[in-house]
Amino acid sequence: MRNRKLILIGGSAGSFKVVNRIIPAIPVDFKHYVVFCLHRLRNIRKGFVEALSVNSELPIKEPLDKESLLTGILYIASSNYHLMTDHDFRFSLSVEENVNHSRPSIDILFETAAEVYKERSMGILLSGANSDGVKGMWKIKCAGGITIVQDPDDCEIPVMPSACLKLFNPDYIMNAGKIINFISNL
Amino acid sequence: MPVTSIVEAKEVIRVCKSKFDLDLTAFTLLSLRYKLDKTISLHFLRYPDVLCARLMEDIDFMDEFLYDISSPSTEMFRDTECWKTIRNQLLPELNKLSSPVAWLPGTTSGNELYSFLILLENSGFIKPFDVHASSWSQKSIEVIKSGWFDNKNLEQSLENFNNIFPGHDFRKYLEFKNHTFYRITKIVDHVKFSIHDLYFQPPPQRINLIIFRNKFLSFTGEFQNRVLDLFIEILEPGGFLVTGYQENVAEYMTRKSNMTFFNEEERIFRKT
Repeated sequence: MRNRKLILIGGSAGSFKVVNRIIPAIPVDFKHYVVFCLHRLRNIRKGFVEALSVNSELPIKEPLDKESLLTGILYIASSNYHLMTDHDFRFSLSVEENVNHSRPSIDILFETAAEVYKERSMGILLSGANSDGVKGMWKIKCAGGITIVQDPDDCEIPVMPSACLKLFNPDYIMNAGKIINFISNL
Repeated sequence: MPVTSIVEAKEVIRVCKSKFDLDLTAFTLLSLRYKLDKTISLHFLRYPDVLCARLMEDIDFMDEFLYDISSPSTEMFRDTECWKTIRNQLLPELNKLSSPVAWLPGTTSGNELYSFLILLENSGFIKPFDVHASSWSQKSIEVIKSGWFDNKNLEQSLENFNNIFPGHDFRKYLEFKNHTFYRITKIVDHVKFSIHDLYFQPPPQRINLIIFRNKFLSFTGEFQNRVLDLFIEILEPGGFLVTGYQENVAEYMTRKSNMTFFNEEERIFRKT
């Protein structure tokens, strides 16, 4: 259990296509925890998980509050709730104010995960139109985790990865294809 | 991650327990740390130890503190599907009663209470509803009675309202609006307000409807179950409990022989 990483994937505008390529590349026996935090419409609860599940070998789930984090499930933050990881290795949800105009906020998930999982955390920041996730990536870096930023030239909307690159040098800058290879070879 | 560390949060817990007999261990540490961050920032206290000193020295600050650490709903009609379910499925059931009683415990911002009252009015609900709202903090009650809301979430509230009531006009409730605040017309006059402690003392009546959405998120599992037991006890047979759709209460509730799902997706339970 101690060598299991927590892979955190954050994205906003323009990330859906990449996420749709990452998901089928994650094998059924993948030994790491995977959590997605994607900006999405607030009042649309149905359809998103279903759309992502079409190409997935693993079940995709919006975790409930206080639910244990397991391997073999791909978790995705619910719309209109912040998603966090707590010290008892369970999820924790909140309806506090938006952060970076977002709920769920990528920063909130990444920061709490960095505190709990430390060097076992891995942050991947994809295409997006604001700077949510940048602070969280920095916290992962500071905690000894791995940080990967999608190459801005490969992004539909490069604002989010570019903002991250302005703040610090991540461990890797990769295009979508390389990110997918990296994850599936873990 | 929260700025307030676990050690600092535990010190605040110790101060609140020793000075006010207030047991903040009802909150998960993660949730409490974020709430303490917010309080420290709002009052320019800079550090948790300054907050502790303020709590020790200024007794009047406690009510403000309780207001700050409460869990507000940030907009009206949040989760529109839930409100549609209340309108379409719960209200017709409650309409069969002569004088149904509703209770909204832990009310903080007033968004849930005003949503419920506006829903009643726009649904043509004809029965006189006995509505109770309670809070940990006097400040919450004063804020709610005033009808003032932060303008930043008005747009979302309007969108939610229009989703539930297409063709209805929310502006009839807007008494005043500027760039910072807006004010809702006086629709809370008949609501019975009360203060409770962390353990949510209920109104004396038996209750037909409890709306307590997304407030369990802040609490530990143990405290959550304790509050659920209280709600189950005070509900009239046939009464409803509305929780948040991502709250993890279903397993506990469905183990209770006298509680069933009324609407599983919206996490609405009914006492049998």
